[in-house]
Amino acid sequence: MAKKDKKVAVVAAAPPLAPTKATKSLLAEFSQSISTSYKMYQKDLSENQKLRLIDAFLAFLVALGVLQFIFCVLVGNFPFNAFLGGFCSTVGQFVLTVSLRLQTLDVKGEIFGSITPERALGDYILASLMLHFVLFHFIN
Amino acid sequence: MRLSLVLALIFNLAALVFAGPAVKGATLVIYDPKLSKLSDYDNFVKSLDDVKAVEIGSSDIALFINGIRMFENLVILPSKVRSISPHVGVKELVEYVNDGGNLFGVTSSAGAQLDLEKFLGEVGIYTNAKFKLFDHFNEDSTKEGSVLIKDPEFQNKIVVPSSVDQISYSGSAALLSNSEYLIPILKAPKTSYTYNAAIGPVGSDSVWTSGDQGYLIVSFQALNNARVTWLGDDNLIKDSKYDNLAKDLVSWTFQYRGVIKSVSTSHENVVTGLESYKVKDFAKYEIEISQWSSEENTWVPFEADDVQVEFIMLDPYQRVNANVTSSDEEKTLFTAVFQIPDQHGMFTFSVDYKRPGLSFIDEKIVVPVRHLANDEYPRSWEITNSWVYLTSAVAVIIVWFAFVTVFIFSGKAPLVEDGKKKN
Repeated sequence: MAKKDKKVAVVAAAPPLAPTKATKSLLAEFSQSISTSYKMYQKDLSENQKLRLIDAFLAFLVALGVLQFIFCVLVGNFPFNAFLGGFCSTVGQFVLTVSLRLQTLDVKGEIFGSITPERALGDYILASLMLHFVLFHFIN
Repeated sequence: MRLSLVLALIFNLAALVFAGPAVKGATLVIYDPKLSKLSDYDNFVKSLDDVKAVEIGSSDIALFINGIRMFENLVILPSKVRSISPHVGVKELVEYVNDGGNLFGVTSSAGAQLDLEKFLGEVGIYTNAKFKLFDHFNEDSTKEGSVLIKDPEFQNKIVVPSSVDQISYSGSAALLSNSEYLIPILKAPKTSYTYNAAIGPVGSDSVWTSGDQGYLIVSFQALNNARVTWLGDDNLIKDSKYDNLAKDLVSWTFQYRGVIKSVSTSHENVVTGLESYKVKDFAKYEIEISQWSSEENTWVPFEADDVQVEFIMLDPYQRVNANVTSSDEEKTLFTAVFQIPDQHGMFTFSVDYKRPGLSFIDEKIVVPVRHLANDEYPRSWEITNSWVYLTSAVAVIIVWFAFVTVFIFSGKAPLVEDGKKKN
């Protein structure tokens, strides 16, 4: 979700460049918009330490979730509650972290104008603690 | 009034406790002097206990007086008289057996009492004295119209343990219903058939049985353990040649033999010793069974290897053999140990021991089986598979903590710079 939003923003910013390459096919246009987005993202990453940090954490959660899913598929889902607990902890943490990413990086205050970065971080920590509290009970 | 009631109750209970088997009571013999004198049956009558012989049709005959059954055993000998007595008809005979009375009914080609035949029809023994058994391959040369059955095979060794060299049979054969409470004793020979002696073997209408679909001696044991035996030829009880056979039939029918009872049943949880169970527990079920021995006039241990215990909720989830674990001078203890299924609900321990020739035992105990309590399941960390998920959950927390720490101290600077740039 977050990445898509980012892309939309980038594409929206793209039109000034478009007229010079009007003859190009749709496919080329599409690949170019992707590479432009990627470059913009790379630039954002190099400029913003928090973005780097958040995205690295998200990548870690995805990797861990996929690993558990593969293990479950291969070995069987016997302690199913444990699998659900472990898997949901990565998914839930992913969702919460993406929320943090949206709120923290909403610099212009367009969407979350009323929420300060401190408030966002506080919400995030509280929600994460609750998530893990519940999940550890669920894992039993 | 109340005191007398209580006393009566205590007296009844005492009577129950001290009662032997139901063989001590009187035997009523109903005979027809126009067909055979009672002295013809001397052999037979002498073998009975406490006999009261009455001519058929006598108004003295009453099976019940004030609703109380007057006889334990009833013998009805061949007769041409339509009605046993003004007080006794088919209905009374059914009542009598329903109340636990035993009946030994004999018909012959000379005559079959109509009420007795009707009663046998109710039980599932369809006999008709007008039809006579013939076997042109095995005729008894010494006695006209008799069928010679060599080396007869008695179908139930509990009812008739003794053997007879040969039987000269002159009488009818019965068709049987498929009632599972019937105990066929003697089959008609394969080459025999039954036809209406008055009409002759003219067509299928005049044939009652053909081949070994006919039966010559049939017993029946009702669910209340009352016993009935039908015999198609009174020579078998008249003639001293067949003494052993007659004695076997009578002693079985009148509950001297083949009488067993369950003395006690108990069950317990093998681990806790309590009578409460949860799924997958092990249960021990015990039943004590005695057998009546008329020779010793006492209860003796019952020997068998086919006593089965079932654990039922609609269907039997377990059906196991109960083994003999001990026996004293009166009873045998059968024990079965089995695992409760992985299914909670109301279950029934059931011993439904029904063997042809033995009294029926039907013991049922209903018990609840509970499911596991929520703290009786293994914890996650006891299952190695879940270590993967536990590790991952812990890893998420650790990395999350590190992330938050670094996030806080990563400072505003880049963010502010970034914001400035974009602005």
